Amino acid sequence: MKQHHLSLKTKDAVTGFLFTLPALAGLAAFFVVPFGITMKMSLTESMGSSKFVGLKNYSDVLKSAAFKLAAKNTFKFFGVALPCILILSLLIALLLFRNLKKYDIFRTFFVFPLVLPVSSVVLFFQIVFSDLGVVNGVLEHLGMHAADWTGEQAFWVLLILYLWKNTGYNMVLFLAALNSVPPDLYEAASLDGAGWWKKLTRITLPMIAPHTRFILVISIVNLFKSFREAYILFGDHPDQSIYMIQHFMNNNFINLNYIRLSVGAALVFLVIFALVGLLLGLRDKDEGGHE
Amino acid sequence: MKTRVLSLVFTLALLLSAFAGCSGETEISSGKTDNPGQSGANDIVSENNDPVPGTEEIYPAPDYSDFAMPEETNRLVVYIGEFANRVMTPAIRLFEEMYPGVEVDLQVTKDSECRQKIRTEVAAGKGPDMFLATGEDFPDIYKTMSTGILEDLNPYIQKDNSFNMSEYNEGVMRGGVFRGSRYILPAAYQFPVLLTSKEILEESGIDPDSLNTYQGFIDACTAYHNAKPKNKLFQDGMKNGYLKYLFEYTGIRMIDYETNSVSFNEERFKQFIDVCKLYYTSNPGQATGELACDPLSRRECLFGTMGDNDIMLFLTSYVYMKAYELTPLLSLVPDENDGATAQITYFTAIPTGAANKLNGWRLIKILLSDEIQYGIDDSKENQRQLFPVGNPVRNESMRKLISYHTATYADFVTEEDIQMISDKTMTITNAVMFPTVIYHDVEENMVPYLSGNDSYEKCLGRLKNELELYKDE
Repeated sequence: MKQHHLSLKTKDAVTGFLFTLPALAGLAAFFVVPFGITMKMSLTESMGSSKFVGLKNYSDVLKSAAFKLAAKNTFKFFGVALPCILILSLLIALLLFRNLKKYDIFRTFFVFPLVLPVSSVVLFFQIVFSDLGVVNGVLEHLGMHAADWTGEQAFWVLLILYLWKNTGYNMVLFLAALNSVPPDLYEAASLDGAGWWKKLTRITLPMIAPHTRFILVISIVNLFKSFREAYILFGDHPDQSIYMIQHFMNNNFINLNYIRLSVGAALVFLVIFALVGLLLGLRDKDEGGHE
Repeated sequence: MKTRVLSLVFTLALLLSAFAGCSGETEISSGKTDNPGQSGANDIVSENNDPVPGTEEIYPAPDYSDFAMPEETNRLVVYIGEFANRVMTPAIRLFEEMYPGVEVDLQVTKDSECRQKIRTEVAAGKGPDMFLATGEDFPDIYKTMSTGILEDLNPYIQKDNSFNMSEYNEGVMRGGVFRGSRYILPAAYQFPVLLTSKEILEESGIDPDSLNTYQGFIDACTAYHNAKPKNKLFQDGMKNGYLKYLFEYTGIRMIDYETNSVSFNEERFKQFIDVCKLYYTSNPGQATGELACDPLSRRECLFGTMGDNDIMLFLTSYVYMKAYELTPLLSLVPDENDGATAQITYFTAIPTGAANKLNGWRLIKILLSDEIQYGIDDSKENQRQLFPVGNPVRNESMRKLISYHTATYADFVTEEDIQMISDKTMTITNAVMFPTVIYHDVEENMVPYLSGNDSYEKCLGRLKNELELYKDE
């Protein structure tokens, strides 16, 4: 009787596949299939008809002033918030890294917003930034005009909220990255007469670059999450300065317009795909260079 | 490399799913063409392809010549919230009597739960075979209509001779028409009625007949302010009330959903805002919760409004006015076209993905039938639920409502009063389900002008920008 022997490599592959099967099934059922349906929906005529209309829905959405404004504001928020959070969290991490024991209390202070429920955070910001809130009270006390923080200045409120909530998390990641830099590099640089700035630009930043890319991706994901705060703070139709892609999609969801919602989601997918693909490409190039 | 690409795709799919949610398959047949089954309903006797009243003037009616009524099935699925169930229960009872072979799956849940369930399942091409809903369930029903998830009911009306649209208040029923198709049938509405007295109008030199036109109404509001600058316009003259009630009553829609454009009569809108400004700055007053008759009898305001109260408290005020030896006058607020625009409070619809559309349609007919519209269980709650849209029962229903609530003051209510009130409610020329978000936009952008902090032009410009954005979403 002929016996079939599988090679060790094949056995390992089958075992691995079987172990990952439940997770893959879940991923397929709850993410991949809905994603496929979303894509299909974005190419159909309406909710009541499955007629294929090509890219007509995409053309309609891209022509929409609401979508254009949402895209513009989202990119603007990305453009301002991303550099801000990266620089701020790196600076705090560097400060704490150099004097970790002395400033340990600050580490807790910065991480604290992460554990607060969103509703409490929003309530706090409402009190601080309402028309009769703390900030306007201080401004008036200083003889300045009160600002409309829920209107024209809402963008800055959202930015402050995002930074306040997420800087601590990024700071912890940067601290971990800084810890991974071998101390003897700094010692050797010191012997060579390198100053603080040289050590930062020639040793620290290049050494933590892979971590920075990861922190960048996490920050992008958290940026999208900041819609939750924006929605609770300012509602589904906020001031035009903070009307973002998620507002566009959420409002179409409310009106059950899943076609436009799907198109919006597909466009966001393409942008994030390109963005993350670019980051991974840079990483590959970087790793290739080191090899 | 492959692993990296795969992980990237899965990660992004995961992220995308968080935005997009998921939806079921939409194997939905259009009511216009995709129903190949034969008509199995006993109540459908012949075809009639005349345009359905209420559609021909607004938008050319689609061609329903190849429409066939949905196939006979032996099941009916209905989801209903606890509040509306008081109306639905007697309707289901009637349905079961008329169609004993049909199994009715009535799922009663909390209002919020029911709303979520209907919204989720209807959008996924599944869900109930019909539903009775409010504006809270669908914040902008006209935008929802444009998605194609609701069945066009016009061909049902055309093919079903047992349903006669002319028996219903045409102006109200018009509120369910969108681009020539009728996606909802109103089941209840609130009309823009005000209460005043002949004496109050005379004291301010206002001709009662002038209240029949928009211009006359605006002039009357201005004249009253000039005559009695410290008085309020409405009994609950709080700041936002002026804007809210008057805006709803005047029927200015701001967005023309037929053409999807920001379109309104700017002159009329300015007049409305300026009247608000007169009262907003001079005497905002407080929300007292009083019956309209009390401040009217004290000569504190020009009009009593129904406000957020139900019609019965309002009609009780009408009776009390006589007790105060005043001559009550009811006036429908003229809309910008000199008609009267009602607000639809309840409507019925059939999802395009429904499996038992014919039974859904039958239940809709029962909900709009004289028996249900009149108030089948004769309870006070039921009366409050449904304000009749059907002409034949209107007089009788009004009579019953008034006598129920004014039994103690029966001496003050005459046949003429009842007829007059009933007639007033029938002169509705249009009806809408006004999206709350538009009102909020108007309030948010025009309040700086009302409070004197910004110019009209700037406020209007901002409002138009917001509306442009909203209609474009």
